[in-house]
Amino acid sequence: MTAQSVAVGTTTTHRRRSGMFLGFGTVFRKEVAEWFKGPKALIVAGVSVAGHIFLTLIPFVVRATNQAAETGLEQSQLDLTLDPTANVLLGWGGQSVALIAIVATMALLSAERDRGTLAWSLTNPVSPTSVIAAKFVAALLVFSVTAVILPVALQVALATVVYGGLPDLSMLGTFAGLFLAQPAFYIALTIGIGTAVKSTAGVAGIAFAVMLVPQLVGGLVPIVEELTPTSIGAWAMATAKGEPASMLTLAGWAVSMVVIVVGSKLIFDRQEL
Amino acid sequence: MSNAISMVGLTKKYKGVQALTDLTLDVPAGTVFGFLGPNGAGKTTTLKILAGLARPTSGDAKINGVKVSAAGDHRRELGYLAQDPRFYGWMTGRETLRYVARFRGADGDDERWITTLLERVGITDAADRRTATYSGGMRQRLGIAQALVGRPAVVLLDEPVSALDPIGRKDVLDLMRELKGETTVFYSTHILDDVQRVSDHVAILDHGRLVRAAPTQVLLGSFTKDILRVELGGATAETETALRRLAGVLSVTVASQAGGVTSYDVAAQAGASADVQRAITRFAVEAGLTLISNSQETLDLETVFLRLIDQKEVAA
Repeated sequence: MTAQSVAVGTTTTHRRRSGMFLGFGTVFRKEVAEWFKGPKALIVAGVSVAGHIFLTLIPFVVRATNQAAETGLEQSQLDLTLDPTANVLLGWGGQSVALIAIVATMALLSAERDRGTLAWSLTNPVSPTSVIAAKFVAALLVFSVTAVILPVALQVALATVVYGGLPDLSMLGTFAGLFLAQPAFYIALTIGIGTAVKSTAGVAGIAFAVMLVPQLVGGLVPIVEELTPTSIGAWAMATAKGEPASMLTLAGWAVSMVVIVVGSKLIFDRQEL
Repeated sequence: MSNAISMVGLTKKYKGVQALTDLTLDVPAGTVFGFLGPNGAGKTTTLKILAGLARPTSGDAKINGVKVSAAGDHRRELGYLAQDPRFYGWMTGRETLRYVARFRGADGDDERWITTLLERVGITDAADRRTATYSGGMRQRLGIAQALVGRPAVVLLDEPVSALDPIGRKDVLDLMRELKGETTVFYSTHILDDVQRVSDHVAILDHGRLVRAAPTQVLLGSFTKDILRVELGGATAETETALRRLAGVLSVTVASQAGGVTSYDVAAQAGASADVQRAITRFAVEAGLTLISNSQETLDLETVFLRLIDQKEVAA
């Protein structure tokens, strides 16, 4: 250390945002930076792009390698189409995005709690609500771009080239917009569970159970599948295609989001670190 | 003098464990206030409550007049250093300070202030290295810098020198001494020698209860102001009796005897120390004894602390 003296000269003149969202902007910027400083955003983008491009190319590959002819089946019997829009949407019907969302965000709170940085951040002028809200908004923003918007954009470009026509951009735009409700639900879910459950494994276990159990039960009791927020991806697909889609699914998603948001806030506000 | 920190009836229970009981304490603005206590006394719990990381079961606290709450508004008034400070490993030391500065409404002067703080805590050379590469001592130094970066009215330091080597400890204590008058430093420690060197006020906590709070010199003086240490050469068994008969003397005990010199602890009546000192001097001359010393007893903080904690001896 040097002999230089420190004149702290205390100041309390800074008066910025106060109340529930105190310090939101600072935590949000840190969260976005954290996604890109590490390999996480790159891995999410890589896995999502590779997976969806592969699925888009399946009919093209089948046709190019004459597999249909070799197996003695007609193209229609393989249920493959050369429609560019359909082939962009191929692969968005499952739970792969949900799976990636859970894996990418399950440690957002627990890792910080383990490292001690959550407690440190909360010794600054920041509200607990801002911390979880900033984590959610940053994760949803980064995830939307890397796991939904980027893959869809590349799929559109690829489908245009290999299937010889521009896909229905209006339908795909509507789908991509509505489909963001699915990662929004799973990211809110992992953060919400993280406010109450301290271990990453615990967060992941509960989130996977939420993802799988309604589907299993829904197979036996159809109304469950209609009501569960985990069906929001299929609802987005049906709505974009102009097919019948139950508003109960949207209502179930909205109610679940409200429960997760309010529950997370109440739990996290009372948290001691 | 106004209070930088006010605690009224702070009580904290953790799953049946009483960590803090009815703590009422005021910390005057501009002081360096040492918060002492054995392990488990409730020091860290108190600091966590003040930082808003823990909630009291009952009671209230204010930092610079702002009520402590989970909402976090009071944190604008304080800087906090945890016992084992942790930072984002992917940020550099300088970025860590910028991050904290942004919470507090960073302005154009902050970059210069950050550089000054990095120099002051001695980590300029490592300022642009990721904090994941920092040693415990460097994290402690960065922790002190980040506690000061917002120019807070109150700085809470939980065991600020515990992870430092002797040089680092001296540097941090010097820094704390410099902060006197600039901001209020409220810090916990169990290193009593440091408290005596740096703190102008001290509070002692034991089993979650406040044992004593006072200006350091007043606390030390309260144990010694009416006790005289008298050393006489050539004293006999009758000397003790003769001393006890002097006006204003309450009691006399032999502290030690060696090489013909006897040391006595003479307790005087309240406010009579000076008269008793004069009477002892006259007595020694008249009795033909060699008066080696005749002064107020001085105790160090460690002795006072042990008396308060171990023997539950509370000064009048």
